[in-house]
This record gives sequence, C-alpha cells and structure tokens, in this order.
Amino acid sequence: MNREEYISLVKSSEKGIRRFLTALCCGDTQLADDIAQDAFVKAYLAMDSCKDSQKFRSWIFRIAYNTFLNQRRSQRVFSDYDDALNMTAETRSDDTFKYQALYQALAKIPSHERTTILLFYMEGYSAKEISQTLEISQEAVRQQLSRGRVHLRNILQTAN
Amino acid sequence: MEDDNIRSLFADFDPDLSSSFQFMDRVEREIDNMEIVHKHLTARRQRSRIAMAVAACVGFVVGFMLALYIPYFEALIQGVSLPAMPDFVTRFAPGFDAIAMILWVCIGVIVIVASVGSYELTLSLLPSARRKE
Repeated sequence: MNREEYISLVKSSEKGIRRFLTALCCGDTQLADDIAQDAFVKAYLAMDSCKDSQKFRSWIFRIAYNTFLNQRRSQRVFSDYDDALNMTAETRSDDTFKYQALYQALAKIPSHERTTILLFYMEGYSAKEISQTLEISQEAVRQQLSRGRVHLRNILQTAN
Repeated sequence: MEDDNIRSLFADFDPDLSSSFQFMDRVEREIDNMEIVHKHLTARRQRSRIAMAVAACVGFVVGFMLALYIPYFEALIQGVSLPAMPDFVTRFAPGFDAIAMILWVCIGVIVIVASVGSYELTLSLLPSARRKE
C-alpha cells in the first residue's frame, strides 16, 4: 500500500472513526480528533502490516481503540461513577446537549463494554467482527455486550 | 426490547464534527512530518553502518599489520629487564610470557583507537541528510 492508497482509505473511514471516538470520549470532540490524528499517523507507520485493504476498516478501528486506551492510561482514570457525572466535554460541539444523556450513560460504563456496545450498535459490527477488531474471543464480546446492555439499561432507567 | 431501546439510542447519533477537509489536512501534515523524521533517521542509520564497516576494516588491517611485526617488536624489547613473575602466575600459567602479553595488549589498544578514530572520521566526512537538502 502506498501513501495515496492509504490516504484514500483514510478519507473513506475518517468520519466513522471520529464518530466512534467522539462517543468513546463521551462528547469530547477535540480529544476524539486528537486521538483520531494519532491513530491515523500510527496506522500510516504500520501500514505494511495491513495487507488486505478489505480489512482496513477493522484494522484502523483496532488502532483507534488502542490509541484511546493509551491516552486514558496517561490521564487520571475515573474509578468512581460519581466523578463521571461531573465529567464534561472541554470542547462542546453544537449538539452536545442533544446527546448529553447518551454521553453521561456511556461515561458510566467501563471502556471495554462501551467500545463493544458502540461497535455493535453504532457501527453495526457482528460479534465475530468485534472479536477480530479488538483481538478478544467471541465469548468475551458476548459477555461485554450483555453486561454493557444491563449497565446501560440500569443507568437509563435511573436517569428517567 | 432492550436491544431495540439501545439501537434507537444510536440510530440518530450524528455528532457535529469539525470539517473533514481540515481534519485530513492535519493528518497529511502530520504524515509529512513523520516522513521527514523517518528520512533523517534512515540517513543517519546508513551513515552509521558505513562508518562501522570502515572502522571494522581499519581495525582488522591495523591489527593484522601489527601482528605481522610481532617478532620484530619482540626482538626490540628483548633486552628490557622485567620484574620477576609472582608465584601464583608461574603456578597457574607456567608458559606465561609477559612480553607477548604486553605486546598483544598494546596491539589491542592501538586497534581500538584506530577503529574508533576511523569511525568518527568517517562519520564527519560522510554528508548528512540535512546537508543534502
């Protein structure tokens, strides 16, 4: 894969990646864009490892997710859900309030469950595709999905 | 039912993202910077490899030439009186030759100095990537 091919693949997937990362970062679009930038640069440096352009999308999602995890490790991690309630996006997009309930709900579930939920419901990935993207077993994906659903339901019921 | 509720949450999720054009412009600029750094690192590694190869050759040639002249050096310092060897040396290494040992140590030091010197000289003479630009 050369640079032109890579850029063209990035252009076709950048919106989906940024949308995914925005949800993962609970509405912080600036952080999401920074992580997306890092992910695309890392992917460019490792583009020889993606031999099949058909699998580019799942490959780049994996890199984006790992970049998100690295970014979180370098910052303070919310261990208390009450802290998550006070977490606000530093950069607010115009429609942040429209999705505030969603962001707050997502902020309260663990990041691995959040990722699985987003890939399944937002990106439409199957359990098999999620397991390949995140390099975990399909059983682990199903467990995370199940737990994530329960968490989200409880949080949304409490909010209502 | 629960599945439908969650699906409906994400059904119309379309956050207001910044311009794709600006985002891609930033990505391409980052990639350009990466390529510049990568080019410099590659050039530096190549220069280092060439300098190491020259240093190895110089070290080998100097060592070989000096080794050929060992009988001559031995004859030169034959007349120098050395202190007597301690007992433990003669006990554990009866065939120990102090003159040969001193000569080989000197050869080793000269080879190392010649190799390091030629490495540094080669690096300074090779054109750097920055100068090429």
